[in-house]
Amino acid sequence: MVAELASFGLDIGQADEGTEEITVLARTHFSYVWRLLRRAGLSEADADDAAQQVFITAARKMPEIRPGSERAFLYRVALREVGHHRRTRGRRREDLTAEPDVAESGLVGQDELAAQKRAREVLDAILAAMPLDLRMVFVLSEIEELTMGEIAEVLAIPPGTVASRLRRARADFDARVERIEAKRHFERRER
Amino acid sequence: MKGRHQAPHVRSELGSALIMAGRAERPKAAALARTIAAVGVGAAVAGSAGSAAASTAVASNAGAALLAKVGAKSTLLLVVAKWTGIGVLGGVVTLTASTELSKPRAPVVDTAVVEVATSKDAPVRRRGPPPSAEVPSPETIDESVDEPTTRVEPLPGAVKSTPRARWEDEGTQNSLESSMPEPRPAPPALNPQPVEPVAPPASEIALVDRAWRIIQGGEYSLGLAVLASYEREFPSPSLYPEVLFMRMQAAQRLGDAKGAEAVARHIVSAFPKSAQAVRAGALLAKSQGAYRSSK
Repeated sequence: MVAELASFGLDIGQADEGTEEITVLARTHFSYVWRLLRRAGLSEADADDAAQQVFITAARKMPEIRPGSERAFLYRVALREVGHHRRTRGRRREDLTAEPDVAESGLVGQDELAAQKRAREVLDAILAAMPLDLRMVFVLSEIEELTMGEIAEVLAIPPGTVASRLRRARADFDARVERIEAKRHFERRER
Repeated sequence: MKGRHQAPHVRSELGSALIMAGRAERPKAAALARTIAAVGVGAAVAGSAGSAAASTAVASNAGAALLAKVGAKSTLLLVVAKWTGIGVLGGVVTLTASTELSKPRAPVVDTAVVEVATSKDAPVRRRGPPPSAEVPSPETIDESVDEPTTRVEPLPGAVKSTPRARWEDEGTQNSLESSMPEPRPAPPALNPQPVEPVAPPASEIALVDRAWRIIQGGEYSLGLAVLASYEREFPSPSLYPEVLFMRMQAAQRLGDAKGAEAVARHIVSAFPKSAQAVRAGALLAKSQGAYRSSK
């Protein structure tokens, strides 16, 4: 690659260093960013594209990223991508039923991979039914395991707001899971 | 990452299972590879963007070379192929292209003209069509083959790869096409001229649209790199006036007035009746007026 750039008179050092940095950043954080995009309601293919866009943006703004804040920066950009995606492609995930069909969810008695996939479908259905502000705090805390301070930085909201939203989000999530469990229990008794 | 500060939260077994399933999801390795390829191009182009005068040709060449190097050409195509439901620009370029296609086709213009004009100091690399460009592409082979004895089979390398599962149905389509009977050659008396495609392929429109969006977003060097990859991907581009117009705009916004003028002159001479020629002519008139007033 270096020789290729040199043959075109590029500043090899600068370009190669930038490429190296962003490659490392992508290798380190791609999974996290992609997962956040998925939990925010994007399909796998859309998450692929949006994650790519996140890292293209990061490559452009590399000098602005504070060391140690890479993940927070990437999440911020990712959430902007989610907003862009919602505006341009509609809110498809919101059309999903809030209460997934537990009987078909196959959480029990299936092989591990299929069970995981179906569990994610149930999870996404629950998340899709949650208000967006609660959902993002919940995902960042429970799935991405960020601290409240980090979430506050990513979402640019006060830590107190993060705490209250997280409390409400957990209650909301637990209530939805309880309803699913109750339905499951009822269906078992009916058989 | 710092330690967590939230109070421990007791959750049901199902709730915990759902959360764990969410945490366990991972992207496909190909997605990461495509992203690395794409950001590699972006970083290299960004690194070269400092020199406005030279960046037009240099960034285009470097971007294209890197694309070829890492196989990101297909990456970009894959990304933009999803935008086949493109809106206004797609419609506009299709209409314009249809208008252009109804007229006699101008020969493929050697982009070295643009490169020389935009970067006198940069080493000029003439980007002639690759050897495989002599062979009709799989998409046009049915229309362009006149003699059955000279029929050219699609080269394996010329078939676009479809790494993403979403395009599996396209692969099926390809295999179906290859298993179909050989196309019947058109009688020369009835069809003396090779049939021009009615409209450019969706992937071509999508790539041009991608470049347009990037340029409109202010990433001129990256946009030029995408255009360069477009020219490599489509040696006989149907949307060449649009591509030249975007090159003109990008050069203009990069502050490369001479490069923009050179491209504008090229548009006016090669595509005098195109919609782009009007804008190009306006740019030339403006620059000539500025030149006269400065004297």
